[in-house]
Order: sequence, then C-alpha cells, then structure tokens
Amino acid sequence: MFKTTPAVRLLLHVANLMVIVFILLPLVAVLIGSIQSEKALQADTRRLLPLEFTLDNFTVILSKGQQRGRIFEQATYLPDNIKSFYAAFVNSAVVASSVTFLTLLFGSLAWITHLTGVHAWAYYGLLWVVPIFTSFSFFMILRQWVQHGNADRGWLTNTRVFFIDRALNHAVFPMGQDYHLPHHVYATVPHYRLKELHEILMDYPEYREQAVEVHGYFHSPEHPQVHPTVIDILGPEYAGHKHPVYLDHSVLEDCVVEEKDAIIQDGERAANLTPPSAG
Amino acid sequence: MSAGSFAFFMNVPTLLCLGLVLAYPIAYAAYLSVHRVGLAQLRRGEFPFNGWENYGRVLEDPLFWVAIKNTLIFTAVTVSSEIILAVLIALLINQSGIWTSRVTRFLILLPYAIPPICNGLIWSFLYSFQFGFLNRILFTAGLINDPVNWAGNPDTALYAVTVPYIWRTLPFAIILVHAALQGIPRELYEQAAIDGANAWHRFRQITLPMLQQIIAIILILRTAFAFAVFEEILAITQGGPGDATWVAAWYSYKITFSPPNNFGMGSASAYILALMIGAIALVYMRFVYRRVTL
Repeated sequence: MFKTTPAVRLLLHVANLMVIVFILLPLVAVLIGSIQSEKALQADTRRLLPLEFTLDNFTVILSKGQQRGRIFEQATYLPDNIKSFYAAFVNSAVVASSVTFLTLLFGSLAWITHLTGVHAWAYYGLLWVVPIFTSFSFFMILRQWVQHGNADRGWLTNTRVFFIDRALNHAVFPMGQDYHLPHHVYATVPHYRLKELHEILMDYPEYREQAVEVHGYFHSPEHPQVHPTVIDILGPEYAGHKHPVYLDHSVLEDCVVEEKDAIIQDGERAANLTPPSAG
Repeated sequence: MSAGSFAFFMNVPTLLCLGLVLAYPIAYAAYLSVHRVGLAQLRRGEFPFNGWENYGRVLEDPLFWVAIKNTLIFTAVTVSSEIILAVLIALLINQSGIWTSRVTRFLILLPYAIPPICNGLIWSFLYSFQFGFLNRILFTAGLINDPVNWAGNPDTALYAVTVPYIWRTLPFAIILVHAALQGIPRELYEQAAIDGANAWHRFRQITLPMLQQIIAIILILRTAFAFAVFEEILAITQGGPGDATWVAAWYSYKITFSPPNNFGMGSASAYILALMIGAIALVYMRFVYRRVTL
C-alpha cells in the first residue's frame, strides 16, 4: 500500500529475524541438547555446539529403556515411566484427534446453520446423538439376534442370508449385513462384494445345501412359500443343533498370538459342551 | 418454539457439561475451604466445620502475601510486555511485501503448540547453570565472563520465569491483534496519507484507536491467565530460590499437596485468588472494556 525505503525494508527484515530467533532459540537449544550426552554437555560449558553427537537419548526412550546405548549402559536406574512412552503418546493422540473431530464437527454445524439457515444442530442431535443412545443399541442387538439367534455352530449354518424389503433391510442390515453367511466364510471380502460372493458360492453343492436363505421379515413374499421368514428361523421349527461345531484355527496359525494353545483348548472345550445333535 | 426458547434448549447440554466439570469442583472446593481437611481428617473421613478459619490463616500467612506480591509483579511484567510485543509483532507480520514477515507469520504459532509443562522444561534446560544454552550463547558472543544463574538467583528468578511464559502465550495475543489489524479499512490509511500523515501519525491516529478493543480483551484474558501461572514455576524454579518465585497458584498447590496436606487452607487460598482475579476483571470491564467499546 505504501512504498517503503530500502532502509525501512532492511529494518523490517532485521526485526523479523529477531522474532524468528526468539521463537526458534529454545527449540533449537533443546534439539542440540537432545543429541548430546550429559557428560559432553558438561565437558565445556562455554562451547556453543558440543562436539559429541549421539542418538542414545532417543533410543532409550523409543525402546522403552530396553536399549540403553552408550550413555545409559552404566545407569543402574531409569525412571519407570519410560516404559509408558508409547501409551502416553497414544493418549495424547487420542485427545488431539478428539478435539480436532469436535472442532470440525461443531464448526461444520455452525457453518451449515449460518449458510443455510437450517438448524443443523437440531438435526444432528435428533438424527445422530439421540439414536446412538436409543435406537442404535436396539437395532444392533436385533441384528445380532436375527443373524445368529437359534442357529447352531456349524460352518455354514451359524448364520444366514437375508432378502428383506428395502426399508427393513436399511434399518436392520445396512452395509452388506444381509449377506452375513458369505462374510463368515470369507471375512476379508468387502461388504459390497458379498452379494456376488454368495452367488458364486451357491455353485458349490455343500454351500447350496446348507446355506439358509431367509425371504421376508414378518411375511413371506413368496407364493407358495419356499424359504423361511425371519420369524420362521427364530421359531421352534429351526431350533436345535444339527451340525457339528466348526472351529477354524487357521486364523491363530497365521498370527503371533500369546497363549495360542490355551485359546485352542478353550475353544475345543466349549465345543464339546455344545450338544452335537439336538434337532 | 421461539428463538429464545430454542437458544435455551440448545444451551442445555453445554450447561449440563459445565455443571458437571466446573460447578461441582468449584462447589466442593468451597465446601473444603470452610472445613478442616488435612491428613488426619482424610484418614478419619471426618471434616469438621471451621467457618472462616482457613481464610483467616491464609490471610495471616506472610508467605501468602509474598506470593501475591510476586504474582502481581509477574502479571504486570508479562501482560505489559505481551501487549507491547503483540502489537509490534502483529504490525511486523502484517507487512505482506516483506518475505521475512511471511516466515515469521508461519512460525508464530509454534510456541503456542508447546504444552506448558514442556515449555517450562525447555526453558529450565536453557537457563541451566551447569550446561544451559543461554550462558553458552552469551559466552560465545562475549557478553559474559562467568556463568549467570538465571533461575537460581533470587534477584533474577522471577523475571527469568516471565520470559518462558511470554514466549508461550505471546502468539495468542499476536494472532488476536493481527486479526484486528486486518479488519481496519485500507481507505482510512489512504485518506490519511493524502492528508499528509506519516507512518507514526497513521499508527497513532488510526491503528492504535482501532486496536483498543482487542487490546482491552487481551488485557483482561492475559491478566486472568497470568494470575494463575503454575506450570512454568513448577518446571523451572519450584517456587525457589527461597520464596523468590512463590506465586498464588504455587502457594495453593504447595499448601494442599505438601505435607501436612492442608486441603482446607489450599481451597481457601484458591478462592481468595479467584476472587482477586474476578475483582480485577470487573475493574477492567468497568474502566477499560466499556470505555473502548462504547
């Protein structure tokens, strides 16, 4: 807006440099200190940059005291809280991300309200907060019950595939939850491919014979009725345990798991408690 | 639903949250401040009512008045420095044609991101008499011959603690002043320039009056926060040497959490401090804020 003379520009640059030095000085000093040993720092207290550089300070913290390095190899005591470094870091990350999320959320709601005149806060409360504490839990429990209730622990009979009208499907089985059997068979397949997976698996006789397809929630859409409804599969006709308990240990074999044998034994003990055939 | 009712309804969740996280501890501290609560009482689980005795003991304690004097000095130094520096640095980073100003603007929030306790530890390292970098810099520049014990000397310790506090909290004031500067219409400066006003006159007659309101806000907020300074004291001096850096919040903390753990007196001192901050805020509101906003 106003022309500045070279002298004024120089003065402004100098002033800026002073501010930058004031801002960075403590941080640079700590950075230099962090790559020194205490011995090196004390060796010559008048030297600006000590000669010895080491990453041992970082190593001892990042390894939770396991790798002491040259500086701390003689140390008989390390503070116990060094073991909590990662936990403390995670706690901070959780707090930071929560604050960021809430800031973005409240900011977005305020902007929507400001720009559109619509009470976004009210809709957020009504359609998100209230359901989380009320209907959400209900639908979660209901879905779990419908998917697994009254089923045995067989490989292909522990759950079912649901063909329900759109409204109920959206309420109880969103995001591919309706194709729950193929999800159990191949858990890594994404939800949007489960329908296709079910159709492929139906070409295999074992799957086709055992898989339970449920059509309709309260009333069957089929005339005459071929497949059971949700009400049917939860009723006495489908109660019982016709198939042997299926245990898949391959998941445990692929991963590093503590007390693997105990987990397998627990599973087998529980399987033996389940009656193999009650239906 | 009327706009007023709707506003009330929307504020209810916030009021409930504030009630839980603020009102309860404040009320409980009030309860503790009029009861005898020490280690013996905590062990027995009985807190006998002792009226205003805790307040009386705090007000009769010479250390409390030392802490209040130190707090007032600390507040006066930090708040006045921050306001002057905030205006100067905000004017500096407002110079968009100067590339170093853009660098400063980029870096300015860095200290604000440092947690207060970490800031205290950083400056404790910087001030260290044994291997501090401040002395190293001054040695290298040839400004001192013997190491200076910045935080260990009773004459310099309190002022030494003000610098880290200013370093950490200054960005907040700078950002506020910078935002206010950007709200000043450019036409005012152009008109003044046509009338022959030089840079000083433009600052004196346009910038400063337009910044009065934000300066008043900074004055109120920073005074309240400086009165409650704690983390830098804890990390750098722990109130020492002697009682040179005992401030009001440190007094409450030590009375409460050092043996014999007098929670009653600690709560009473905290209430006295809160009342002082409230009184100063009222004075500011009455004589500064209203004057510049009306």
